[in-house]
Amino acid sequence: MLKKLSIAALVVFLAIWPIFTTNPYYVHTAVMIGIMVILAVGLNLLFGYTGQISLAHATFYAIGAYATSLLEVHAGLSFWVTTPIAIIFAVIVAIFIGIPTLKLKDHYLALATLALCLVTTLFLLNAKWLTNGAEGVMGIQAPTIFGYPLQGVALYYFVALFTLIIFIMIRNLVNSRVGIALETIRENEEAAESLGVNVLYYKVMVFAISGALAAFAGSIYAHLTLFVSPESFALPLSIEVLVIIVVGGLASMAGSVVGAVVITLLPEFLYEFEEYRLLVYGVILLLVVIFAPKGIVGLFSSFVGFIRGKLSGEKVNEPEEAAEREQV
Amino acid sequence: MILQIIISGITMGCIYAMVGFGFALVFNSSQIMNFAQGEFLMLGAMMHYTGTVVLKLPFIVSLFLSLVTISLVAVLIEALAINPLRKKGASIVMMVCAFISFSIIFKNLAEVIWGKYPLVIQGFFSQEIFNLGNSSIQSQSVAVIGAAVVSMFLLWYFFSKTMFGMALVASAFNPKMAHLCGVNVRGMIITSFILSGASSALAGVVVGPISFVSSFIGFDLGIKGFCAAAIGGMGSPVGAIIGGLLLGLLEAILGVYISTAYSTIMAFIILLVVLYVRPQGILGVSSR
Amino acid sequence: MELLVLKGVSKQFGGLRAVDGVSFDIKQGDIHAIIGPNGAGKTTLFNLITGVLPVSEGEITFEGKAIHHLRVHQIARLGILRTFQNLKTFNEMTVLQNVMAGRYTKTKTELGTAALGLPWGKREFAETRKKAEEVLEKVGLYHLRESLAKNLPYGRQRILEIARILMAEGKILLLDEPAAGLNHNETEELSVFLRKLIDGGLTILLVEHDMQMVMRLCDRITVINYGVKIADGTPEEVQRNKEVIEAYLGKGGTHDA
Repeated sequence: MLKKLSIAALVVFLAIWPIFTTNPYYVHTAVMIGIMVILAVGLNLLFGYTGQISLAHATFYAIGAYATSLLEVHAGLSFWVTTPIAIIFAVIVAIFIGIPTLKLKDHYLALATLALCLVTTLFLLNAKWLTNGAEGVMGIQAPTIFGYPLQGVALYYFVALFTLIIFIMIRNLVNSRVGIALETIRENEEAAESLGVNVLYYKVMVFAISGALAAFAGSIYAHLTLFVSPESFALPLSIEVLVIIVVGGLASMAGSVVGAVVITLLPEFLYEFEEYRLLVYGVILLLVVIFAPKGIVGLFSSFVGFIRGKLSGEKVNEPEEAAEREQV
Repeated sequence: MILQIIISGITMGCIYAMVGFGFALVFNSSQIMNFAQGEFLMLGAMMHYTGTVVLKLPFIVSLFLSLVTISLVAVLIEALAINPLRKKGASIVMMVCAFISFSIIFKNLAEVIWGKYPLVIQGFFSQEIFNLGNSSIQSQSVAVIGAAVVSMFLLWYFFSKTMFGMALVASAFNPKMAHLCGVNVRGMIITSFILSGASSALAGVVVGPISFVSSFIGFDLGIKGFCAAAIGGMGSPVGAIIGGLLLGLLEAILGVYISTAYSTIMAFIILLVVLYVRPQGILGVSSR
Repeated sequence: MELLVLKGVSKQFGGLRAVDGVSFDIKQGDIHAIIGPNGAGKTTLFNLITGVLPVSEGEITFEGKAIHHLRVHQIARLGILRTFQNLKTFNEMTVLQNVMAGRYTKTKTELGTAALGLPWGKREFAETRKKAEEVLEKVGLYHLRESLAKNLPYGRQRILEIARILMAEGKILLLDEPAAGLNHNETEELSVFLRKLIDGGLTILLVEHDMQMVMRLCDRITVINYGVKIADGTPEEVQRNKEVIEAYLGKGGTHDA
């Protein structure tokens, strides 16, 4: 009940806050957070739930941004046509790359996806005939809806709506038969397969879903900044999304959102230390990995559990402690 | 001309080999890929800059200081992150995340300490170019190849002639058995971190005069070191050396006859093909 | 009626023949044991039946259909479920989720249905949950349903693995050393429990080192040594078999490790 109320309050807040501000920078930042949430939800499905690390998230983000931009600038197609094309293209690429790549595990998977990410950057920089190299693609127009341009606050509402839809769909997915199957893949592939789960099929499908989401996010990014260049889609972006989900909480829907908000807003608070931004990310990531592997959400829920235990005077983790007693 | 290309290929190959070797060593002892390996190289070069240019220490003293410092950094990584994670039974991907964070931390810390702009360090020889017949060779190439040969010889001696080195090989081959035989597995892991730190730092010191020294070289050269190790079969130090030399030569040849950007993409494509088709390495000398 | 038939099954690892021309069949409703000294090839046999390893020679049929070319998850869908010698529980998932995972082959919700949150997917999920709670109650783990599997003691993890495959309502269960790590009382309970499953229409194939349990519980026993079948029959027949006594029970007593 309390949870439902607070979610309703959050939705209302997200719907009305732009009315009270005229600062376009806030709106821009809010759209950026939405983009990061979409990226994080996709990577969390792949890494947090299914256990498949990927540093190639930036590749699909780039596909979304470049495919829509290039098709619009050169072929004059509209955002509403190019975005689905980009998403389908990302899915096809994900399936083709995913089949050989996702047969690899752990380190090998990290190394292969790292190489994919680097190849993407080199391609964007060197295939000048297509991508215009380091100078990037200019002349992207803001999309229009019923003749009204989708920018500023309008873009914010568009992104907020789709972020919400994506969030709900992926939440449904993880709280289902499929979600449990995905987690069994993370925990033990051999056992998952022995229960009838087609491991490679799900890994590739999840890779494709996360790729599709990243491509959608990329398209939005291109239409937010109206300019794309290779450095926005390089390894640091992949790492930033990874940091978001690890810091927020792996295998947690709330974790993706909390992580995206914290990591996107962090530079605002570190304004004077802009040079140290990545350094701070590194230190935070390291601390979380070592001391709080379940991320902020994990810390919060154990804190809530602790408070509840204090208030009611009961043992919170009763089943676990019962299990430990039996072990003795 | 051909001789020049071959020598510059071998020179870079030796650098990749030294990094790849350290990478393989750690992987061998702990089954962990050290994604921060390249940063050891960068830090080694940076320390040497501080030693020779800022503190004006003699070359040898500065070199020694750099190797010791980087070895300590490697041990620090093991003690601060890897050992606690191993004890907790954390998944391998969490260790990958830890290494990624070290990589970010080192790179950005170096930027804060030494700045963003490339630094110049002195080579081992005062003369910049040797003439050999009608080709001219960068003198630093001789230093790089020399350093690689000497360090490989020392490591070979360590592994095949000393008790401790042999125990390290044994524990890589079968950790459980080695443990039963009284080999201290943690000690072995620490040793492999020290050796990998020192060999990468040495690579940094000798590559510095060729590539300049900046916070970026760790990542760029590190990833080539991974390629070298992967070509050689990941867990095989000897394979990493051969893989490094092959990669260096290939790059030099492609770089001259096609283009530099193309040769870098080639290196990654080779890495991917190796991972997809022959995870045991092209050379198939893996112990796994 | 024969449920599972092995005909001349061999497995070659390089120069080593881990399993060599083994033939036997498992009858519907039996508890059938495979015994043999360590390294005899018992677990390899399990891996061949469940498709983890490809068969080098010979054929395996289940309900009259050849299955040795199928992949692991396809074999599971036919109703052949297994446990593992070195436990493979889903450590970071709760006990309840572990058991729910076992229902995979009996449920249908796919990616699209799940993502859209369609009602039948939700209903199926709720049914799976209910079913899992029933199974947990049956095996006595209900009170631990919210614990993470990794926090369970060893013996309970073994029970959890069995509970997990019960959810699939398969036709044959392959249990790899189910009594390993259990104390005497727990082994007794397990025997009683397995008997009950047979009465419910299941068939069980097990690898086990606890000879007392095997002799008392099983209907048929197949003995293998160095990958070769040396005897096959009821517990009495096997106990009388000379070759078995020499190879396995010889030198004054049982290998019980």
